[in-house]
Amino acid sequence: MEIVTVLRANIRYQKGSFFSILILMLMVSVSLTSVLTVSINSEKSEWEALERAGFGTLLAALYDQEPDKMEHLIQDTKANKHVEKVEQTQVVYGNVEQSDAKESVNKVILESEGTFDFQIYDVTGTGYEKQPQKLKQKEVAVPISYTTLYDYKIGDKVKIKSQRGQLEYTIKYFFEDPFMGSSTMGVKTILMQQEELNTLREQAKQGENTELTAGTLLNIFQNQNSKQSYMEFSRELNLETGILGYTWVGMGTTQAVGYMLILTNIFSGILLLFIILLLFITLIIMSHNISSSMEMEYVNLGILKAVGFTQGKLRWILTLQYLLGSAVGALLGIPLSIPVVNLINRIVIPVIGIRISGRMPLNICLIAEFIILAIILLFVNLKLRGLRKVTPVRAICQGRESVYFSNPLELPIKNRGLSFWLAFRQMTAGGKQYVVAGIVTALLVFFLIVMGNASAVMGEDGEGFAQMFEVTEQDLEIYYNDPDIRQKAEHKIEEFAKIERKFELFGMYLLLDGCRCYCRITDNPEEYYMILEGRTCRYDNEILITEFVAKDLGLDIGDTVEVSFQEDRAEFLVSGIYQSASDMGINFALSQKGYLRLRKLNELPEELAVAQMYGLAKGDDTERIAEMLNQEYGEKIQVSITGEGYPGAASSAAAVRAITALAYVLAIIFVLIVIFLVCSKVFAKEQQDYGIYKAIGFTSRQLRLQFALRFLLVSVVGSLIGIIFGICLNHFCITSVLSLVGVSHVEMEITLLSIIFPVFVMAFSFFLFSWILSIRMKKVEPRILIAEN
Amino acid sequence: MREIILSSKNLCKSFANNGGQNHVLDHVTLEIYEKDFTVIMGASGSGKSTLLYCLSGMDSITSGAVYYRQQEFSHYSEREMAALRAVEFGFVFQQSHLVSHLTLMENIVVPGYLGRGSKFASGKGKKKEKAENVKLRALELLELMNIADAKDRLPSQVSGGEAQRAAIARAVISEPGIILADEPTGALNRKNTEEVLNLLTKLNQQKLSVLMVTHDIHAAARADRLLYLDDGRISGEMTMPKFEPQEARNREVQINAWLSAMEW
Repeated sequence: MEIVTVLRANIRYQKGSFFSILILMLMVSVSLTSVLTVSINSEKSEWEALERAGFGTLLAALYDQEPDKMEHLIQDTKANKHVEKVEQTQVVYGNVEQSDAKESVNKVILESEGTFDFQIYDVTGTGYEKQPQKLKQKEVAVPISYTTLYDYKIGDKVKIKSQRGQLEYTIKYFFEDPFMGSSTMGVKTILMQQEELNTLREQAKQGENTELTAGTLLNIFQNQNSKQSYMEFSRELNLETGILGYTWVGMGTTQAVGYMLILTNIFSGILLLFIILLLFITLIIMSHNISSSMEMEYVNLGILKAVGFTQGKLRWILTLQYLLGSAVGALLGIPLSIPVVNLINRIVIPVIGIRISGRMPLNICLIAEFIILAIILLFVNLKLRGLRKVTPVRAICQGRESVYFSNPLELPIKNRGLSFWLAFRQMTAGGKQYVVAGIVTALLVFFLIVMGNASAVMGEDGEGFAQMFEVTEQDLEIYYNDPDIRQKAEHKIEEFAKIERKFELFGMYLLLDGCRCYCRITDNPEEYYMILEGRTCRYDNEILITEFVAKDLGLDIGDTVEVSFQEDRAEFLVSGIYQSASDMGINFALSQKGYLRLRKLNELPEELAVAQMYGLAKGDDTERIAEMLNQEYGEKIQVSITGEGYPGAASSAAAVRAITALAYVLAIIFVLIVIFLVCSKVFAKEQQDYGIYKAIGFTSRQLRLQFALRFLLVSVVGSLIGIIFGICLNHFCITSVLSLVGVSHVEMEITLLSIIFPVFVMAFSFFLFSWILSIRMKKVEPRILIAEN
Repeated sequence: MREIILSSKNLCKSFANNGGQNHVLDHVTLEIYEKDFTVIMGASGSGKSTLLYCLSGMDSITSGAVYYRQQEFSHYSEREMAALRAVEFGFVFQQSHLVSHLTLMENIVVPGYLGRGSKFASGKGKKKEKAENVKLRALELLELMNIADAKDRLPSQVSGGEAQRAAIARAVISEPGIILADEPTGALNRKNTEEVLNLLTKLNQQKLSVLMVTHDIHAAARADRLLYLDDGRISGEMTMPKFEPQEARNREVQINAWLSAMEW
């Protein structure tokens, strides 16, 4: 009972600290629960959606072959001992025409409604339609990510490129495609009526419409008893059948999950780092609070010991005091995260294309909170070891002496800028009570610098991020549907800008040592700009690989590797390691000569879609040129500009910006709480000094200015440490997060703005909040303070 | 005719107390003269410290008026009041109350710097006084107080007597019109008490007005004018010639007799 009585009195007496810790833990809990819920549920929902839709282990989108060849491939696949069944569907591959020249990645698989059991979104875009109507003629269903990618609404027209002019379809509804429906994926599925699909297939097969290609989807299910991983399964299957060499798209469901959830993974990864940082800051604040409370409550603690409280009991009381605040905050955070999760889901669904359950994984969240509380319990107990030093006699006789010692950092008090010098002295004399504010500032500034640079690396519209998926640098990328206009178009470009560089580039899936990898091929391998080690694939027997491919396949520079396409095979030498995040970093590059050697050809086949790349003189308005070319040549040309090759780049950049904004908001709240706690202690400790200062002629305004200046100085010192950390660890942190999406190397320069802005925000917050909180100095009359002693 | 430096008219001070009012000062009207060493005495709880703080503007008043050199300052803004304190009033408290993180020298020079620039400072021709002059004066005061060797020490590193002498030096750095001392020897031993009283006497002999609150007859013997405060009212007054050390014992006897008459 005595424990409860003292505990209640302590909480009443230190309600400011109690509620501050509660709020800190509440913020940590809301963030953690939200991130865990979104992260766990997105993966769970993705797998459930894949299963519900009926996807197997591997989806192979094959180009239609001769009937015998096709049958042979399918039978070989079925015969593999690890394959349980193969479902076969006929489809058409094509391109969606965008009126906006900016979007170039618009490959689609046209399949009939009902091939997979996709869920249809209702009008709100967040729930499912229970009984969707069948598609009629000229109606299609598109993935919900089209709403963010192309700003489509129900009733809008989708134009599919065709030699017979554009084929226009009306969007009847949006559906959930858990395989490639995310805005971050380059190929999408469009559903249409079976009869219409059959017509398009016939046109494609008869060669009446070369814009469309007939194909077959093989939905391959791995035997449930098979113990092979996806990589082993696909590699062995491919070695036996060569099936992946005939695919337009070939991807396993595990890979699809990775691609689909890139955004949530980036989002969760960064936020989790931030939450760990917040937790660390909370512990630092708690540590400071315990130390200063013990110092200030020395006499009371001594009295409690004198009246019979053991050290153990006192420890229990204080532990419970801190744990209670933390636990209430942590538990309140769980229900409060529900609206946050719903908000994130509303933002995320149109981007990643699947509906994420808002149901909280309560067990996991509770376990996570419990672990955090256990850490706090341990930490508080360790901090309370100082209670041993409290002796009743000393406490009752004199209390803990607050003796100031000279500090080597002390500077003389000068007449000019008296308030500043006094503030500086107060700061150096105050010592450890400002250390906590300094550390918190350092950590927050460090994180904000990293986030600022991450945003800068991503680019305003994601162009920097998109560039990471590129292998060459160019300003314009043009597909000439009519080769005759190429020269005219180039003359047109040169009316506006000088063409400095010109090269051809195309990409396709090839097999690298039996693994299906995306390959970039150019006629000028010197254009591969991001070579990390070795040199470019200058000769026809050389290739470039990424660090991820090198790691996965155990390759290094100088190793020999087999590249194959259908029946064609050739050996190549790894000449260098390069960087490209395409296909999450699993890709490689060849020279055009190398490709021709592989295919045993003298020139490129006509059906290949080869882009002509142009590097223009700096400062030229590429957007205007692209617009002009599109207007001039219409369907004969397809122009895109740098940074538009990766459809999810803008969303990813927006996600990073959103996290940065959130980080600023949380950082400011943390600063407010830190200042509140530190100010309370400092104020209690320095009341007498304020009285003296007032007695000798200082005004409240001057004292408040000194008080706020102290915190400004602390924030500047903390910021300097944060800047050093930021400069040292910025690259490591950003590369670590980007490695999640296949980027192993980022070239960046820390911008001055990315340093100045967080430092300014921190310094301003510290100054402003301490100025506001020091208002109570105004109410203090010197006599009252002095009489207290 | 002697000049009045500090005065009050119908000065009242009340505190709220359990729903009622506790009248600590009850229509006090008094005058403190320039160059006098005035002592206010009274029983415990009579309101003498409150009177000192109200007269010095350190505490608000409930009603009435307070004047410094015939100028009412009870309506001054906080800024004006702070400037008045910095330039015209020098405080000495029972405890030395030095700022703990400033050295003795810094404790003395800071109010010296502070007093300049205000309207009160211009009256003294100190508006543009150089910081170097303040430092020189601080050094002279440290010498005078016999604590020059301890100038760079922190308050926690010197004795109580040394700290109190530094507090007196701080009180006079701005060359104030009056020193207000609240039981300045209350926390000191006999030797230090004597040193502090000698310093105050010396300053008074140098024409500086001193207003001291004390309940110590030995300290009160330094005064040339004594006021007795009883239940928030001035109920008695006694004047004496300027202090001479050889007359100390006689003065104490006289004060004792006067206090007995006041039913102390």
